[in-house]
Amino acid sequence: MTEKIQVEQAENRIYELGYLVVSSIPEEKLPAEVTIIKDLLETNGAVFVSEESPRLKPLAYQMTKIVGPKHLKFDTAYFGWVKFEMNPVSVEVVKKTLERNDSVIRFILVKTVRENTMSVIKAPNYRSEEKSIPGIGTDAKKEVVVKSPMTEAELDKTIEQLIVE
Amino acid sequence: MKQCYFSQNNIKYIDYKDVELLKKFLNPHARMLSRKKTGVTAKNQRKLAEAVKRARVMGLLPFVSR
Repeated sequence: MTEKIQVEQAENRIYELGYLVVSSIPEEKLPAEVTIIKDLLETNGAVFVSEESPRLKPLAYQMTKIVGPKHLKFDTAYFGWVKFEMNPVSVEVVKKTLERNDSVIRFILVKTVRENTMSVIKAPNYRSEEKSIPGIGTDAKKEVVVKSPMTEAELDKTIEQLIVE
Repeated sequence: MKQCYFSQNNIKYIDYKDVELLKKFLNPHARMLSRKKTGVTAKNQRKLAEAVKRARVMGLLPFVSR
Protein backbone atom coordinates (compact mmCIF):
# COMPACT_ATOMS: atom_id res chain seq x y z
CA MET A 1 0.00 0.00 0.00
CA THR A 2 2.75 2.41 0.98
CA GLU A 3 4.65 1.49 -2.17
CA LYS A 4 1.62 2.39 -4.29
CA ILE A 5 1.35 5.81 -2.67
CA GLN A 6 5.05 6.44 -3.22
CA VAL A 7 4.76 5.53 -6.92
CA GLU A 8 1.78 7.87 -7.30
CA GLN A 9 3.70 10.69 -5.64
CA ALA A 10 6.70 10.16 -7.86
CA GLU A 11 4.73 10.39 -11.10
CA ASN A 12 5.08 13.72 -12.81
CA ARG A 13 2.06 15.60 -14.10
CA ILE A 14 1.55 18.34 -16.64
CA TYR A 15 0.62 21.68 -15.06
CA GLU A 16 0.06 25.16 -16.33
CA LEU A 17 0.81 28.35 -14.49
CA GLY A 18 -1.02 31.47 -15.67
CA TYR A 19 0.06 34.69 -14.01
CA LEU A 20 -0.68 38.41 -13.96
CA VAL A 21 2.32 40.65 -13.40
CA VAL A 22 1.72 44.20 -12.14
CA SER A 23 1.53 46.80 -14.91
CA SER A 24 3.63 49.28 -12.90
CA ILE A 25 6.75 47.38 -13.97
CA PRO A 26 8.26 48.83 -17.19
CA GLU A 27 8.41 46.49 -20.18
CA GLU A 28 12.24 46.41 -20.09
CA LYS A 29 12.19 44.86 -16.62
CA LEU A 30 9.52 42.30 -17.47
CA PRO A 31 11.94 39.54 -18.65
CA ALA A 32 13.60 39.71 -15.22
CA GLU A 33 10.24 39.01 -13.54
CA VAL A 34 9.60 36.11 -15.90
CA THR A 35 13.00 34.59 -15.13
CA ILE A 36 12.26 34.81 -11.39
CA ILE A 37 9.08 32.77 -11.94
CA LYS A 38 10.80 30.32 -14.29
CA ASP A 39 13.77 29.90 -11.95
CA LEU A 40 11.36 29.08 -9.14
CA LEU A 41 9.81 26.36 -11.28
CA GLU A 42 13.17 25.03 -12.42
CA THR A 43 14.51 24.76 -8.89
CA ASN A 44 11.48 22.64 -8.05
CA GLY A 45 12.24 20.26 -10.89
CA ALA A 46 10.00 21.57 -13.64
CA VAL A 47 10.50 20.48 -17.24
CA PHE A 48 9.06 23.17 -19.54
CA VAL A 49 6.67 22.07 -22.25
CA SER A 50 5.53 25.38 -23.74
CA GLU A 51 5.07 29.00 -22.73
CA GLU A 52 3.86 32.42 -23.78
CA SER A 53 5.68 35.54 -22.65
CA PRO A 54 3.56 38.08 -20.78
CA ARG A 55 1.68 40.71 -22.74
CA LEU A 56 -0.05 43.82 -21.44
CA LYS A 57 -3.79 43.22 -21.34
CA PRO A 58 -6.72 45.26 -20.08
CA LEU A 59 -8.36 43.43 -17.18
CA ALA A 60 -12.07 42.67 -17.35
CA TYR A 61 -12.48 44.30 -13.93
CA GLN A 62 -10.33 46.23 -11.46
CA MET A 63 -8.12 44.09 -9.24
CA THR A 64 -6.54 45.01 -5.92
CA LYS A 65 -3.26 43.73 -4.57
CA ILE A 66 -2.30 44.28 -0.95
CA VAL A 67 1.40 45.09 -0.65
CA GLY A 68 2.26 45.88 2.97
CA PRO A 69 -0.12 48.59 4.15
CA LYS A 70 -1.09 49.64 0.61
CA HIS A 71 -4.05 48.52 -1.49
CA LEU A 72 -2.84 48.82 -5.07
CA LYS A 73 -5.46 48.91 -7.83
CA PHE A 74 -4.88 47.64 -11.35
CA ASP A 75 -6.87 47.96 -14.58
CA THR A 76 -4.19 46.44 -16.79
CA ALA A 77 -1.65 43.67 -16.23
CA TYR A 78 0.87 41.53 -18.08
CA PHE A 79 -0.67 38.10 -18.64
CA GLY A 80 1.62 35.16 -19.39
CA TRP A 81 1.61 31.41 -18.95
CA VAL A 82 4.00 28.45 -18.70
CA LYS A 83 3.19 24.79 -19.25
CA PHE A 84 5.47 22.34 -17.48
CA GLU A 85 5.88 18.86 -16.10
CA MET A 86 6.34 18.58 -12.34
CA ASN A 87 5.98 16.39 -9.32
CA PRO A 88 2.66 17.03 -7.48
CA VAL A 89 4.52 17.48 -4.19
CA SER A 90 6.68 20.32 -5.55
CA VAL A 91 3.64 22.16 -6.90
CA GLU A 92 2.54 23.06 -3.38
CA VAL A 93 5.93 24.69 -2.75
CA VAL A 94 5.63 26.72 -5.97
CA LYS A 95 2.14 27.81 -4.98
CA LYS A 96 3.21 29.06 -1.57
CA THR A 97 6.25 30.90 -2.93
CA LEU A 98 4.23 32.64 -5.64
CA GLU A 99 1.68 33.82 -3.09
CA ARG A 100 4.46 35.82 -1.42
CA ASN A 101 5.63 37.42 -4.71
CA ASP A 102 4.67 41.12 -4.72
CA SER A 103 4.93 41.59 -8.47
CA VAL A 104 2.35 38.88 -9.24
CA ILE A 105 -1.23 40.14 -8.83
CA ARG A 106 -2.84 36.72 -9.29
CA PHE A 107 -1.88 33.33 -10.59
CA ILE A 108 -3.65 30.12 -11.48
CA LEU A 109 -2.10 26.68 -11.29
CA VAL A 110 -4.07 24.01 -13.16
CA LYS A 111 -3.68 20.47 -14.34
CA THR A 112 -3.62 20.29 -18.12
CA VAL A 113 -2.55 18.16 -21.09
CA ARG A 114 0.73 18.19 -23.03
CA GLU A 115 -0.98 18.98 -26.36
CA ASN A 116 -1.83 22.50 -27.51
CA THR A 117 -5.22 23.34 -26.02
CA MET A 118 -5.99 26.55 -27.90
CA SER A 119 -8.65 25.90 -30.56
CA VAL A 120 -8.03 27.03 -34.12
CA ILE A 121 -11.49 26.17 -35.45
CA LYS A 122 -13.92 29.06 -35.70
CA ALA A 123 -16.50 28.90 -32.94
CA PRO A 124 -20.22 29.21 -33.69
CA ASN A 125 -22.11 32.37 -32.85
CA TYR A 126 -25.02 31.48 -30.62
CA ARG A 127 -25.80 35.10 -29.83
CA SER A 128 -27.07 35.85 -33.35
CA GLU A 129 -29.70 33.14 -32.91
CA GLU A 130 -31.22 35.01 -29.98
CA LYS A 131 -34.58 36.57 -30.77
CA SER A 132 -34.44 40.32 -31.34
CA ILE A 133 -37.22 42.56 -30.12
CA PRO A 134 -39.00 44.17 -33.13
CA GLY A 135 -38.41 47.91 -33.49
CA ILE A 136 -35.30 47.87 -31.29
CA GLY A 137 -31.70 47.49 -32.34
CA THR A 138 -31.24 45.36 -35.47
CA ASP A 139 -34.48 46.31 -37.26
CA ALA A 140 -33.72 50.03 -37.10
CA LYS A 141 -30.22 49.42 -38.47
CA LYS A 142 -31.55 47.45 -41.45
CA GLU A 143 -33.73 50.37 -42.53
CA VAL A 144 -30.74 52.73 -42.61
CA VAL A 145 -28.75 50.31 -44.78
CA VAL A 146 -31.56 50.04 -47.34
CA LYS A 147 -31.85 53.80 -47.74
CA SER A 148 -28.17 54.57 -48.39
CA PRO A 149 -27.28 52.99 -51.82
CA MET A 150 -28.87 55.80 -53.99
CA THR A 151 -26.23 58.12 -55.44
CA GLU A 152 -26.67 61.87 -56.03
CA ALA A 153 -26.96 61.47 -59.83
CA GLU A 154 -29.74 58.90 -59.43
CA LEU A 155 -31.53 61.18 -57.03
CA ASP A 156 -31.38 64.09 -59.50
CA LYS A 157 -32.79 61.88 -62.26
CA THR A 158 -35.76 60.74 -60.21
CA ILE A 159 -36.50 64.33 -59.18
CA GLU A 160 -36.38 65.41 -62.85
CA GLN A 161 -38.75 62.59 -63.82
CA LEU A 162 -41.17 63.65 -61.14
CA ILE A 163 -41.09 67.27 -62.37
CA VAL A 164 -41.74 66.16 -66.01
CA GLU A 165 -44.74 64.10 -64.92
CA MET B 1 -31.24 19.40 -33.71
CA LYS B 2 -28.15 21.21 -32.42
CA GLN B 3 -24.89 19.32 -32.01
CA CYS B 4 -22.27 19.82 -29.34
CA TYR B 5 -19.57 22.12 -30.71
CA PHE B 6 -16.81 20.47 -28.66
CA SER B 7 -17.76 16.90 -29.59
CA GLN B 8 -18.02 17.83 -33.26
CA ASN B 9 -14.56 19.39 -33.33
CA ASN B 10 -13.02 16.74 -31.07
CA ILE B 11 -12.04 19.29 -28.39
CA LYS B 12 -11.22 17.31 -25.26
CA TYR B 13 -9.76 20.10 -23.13
CA ILE B 14 -11.44 23.50 -22.92
CA ASP B 15 -8.75 26.11 -22.26
CA TYR B 16 -9.50 29.05 -19.96
CA LYS B 17 -7.14 31.25 -22.04
CA ASP B 18 -9.19 30.76 -25.20
CA VAL B 19 -11.27 33.85 -24.47
CA GLU B 20 -12.64 34.29 -27.98
CA LEU B 21 -14.10 30.78 -27.89
CA LEU B 22 -15.50 31.16 -24.38
CA LYS B 23 -17.15 34.48 -25.29
CA LYS B 24 -19.33 32.67 -27.82
CA PHE B 25 -20.97 30.82 -24.95
CA LEU B 26 -21.76 33.98 -22.95
CA ASN B 27 -24.67 36.37 -23.34
CA PRO B 28 -24.25 40.20 -23.49
CA HIS B 29 -24.41 40.29 -19.67
CA ALA B 30 -21.42 37.90 -19.57
CA ARG B 31 -23.57 35.11 -18.16
CA MET B 32 -23.20 31.60 -19.50
CA LEU B 33 -25.66 30.42 -22.13
CA SER B 34 -27.79 27.41 -21.31
CA ARG B 35 -27.27 23.98 -22.78
CA LYS B 36 -30.67 24.33 -24.34
CA LYS B 37 -29.41 27.19 -26.48
CA THR B 38 -25.94 25.87 -27.37
CA GLY B 39 -26.56 22.13 -27.54
CA VAL B 40 -23.37 21.35 -25.59
CA THR B 41 -23.32 17.96 -23.86
CA ALA B 42 -23.59 17.86 -20.06
CA LYS B 43 -19.99 16.74 -19.69
CA ASN B 44 -18.65 19.50 -21.92
CA GLN B 45 -20.92 22.08 -20.27
CA ARG B 46 -19.23 21.29 -16.95
CA LYS B 47 -15.80 21.66 -18.56
CA LEU B 48 -16.91 24.90 -20.21
CA ALA B 49 -18.21 26.26 -16.89
CA GLU B 50 -14.88 25.54 -15.23
CA ALA B 51 -12.95 27.27 -18.03
CA VAL B 52 -15.21 30.34 -17.87
CA LYS B 53 -14.81 30.57 -14.09
CA ARG B 54 -11.02 30.30 -14.38
CA ALA B 55 -10.96 33.03 -17.04
CA ARG B 56 -13.10 35.25 -14.78
CA VAL B 57 -10.73 34.84 -11.84
CA MET B 58 -7.78 35.78 -14.05
CA GLY B 59 -9.57 38.88 -15.32
CA LEU B 60 -9.77 37.63 -18.88
CA LEU B 61 -13.58 37.61 -18.79
CA PRO B 62 -15.90 39.78 -16.71
CA PHE B 63 -18.14 38.43 -13.95
CA VAL B 64 -20.86 40.91 -14.95
CA SER B 65 -21.22 43.18 -17.96
CA ARG B 66 -23.51 46.14 -18.93
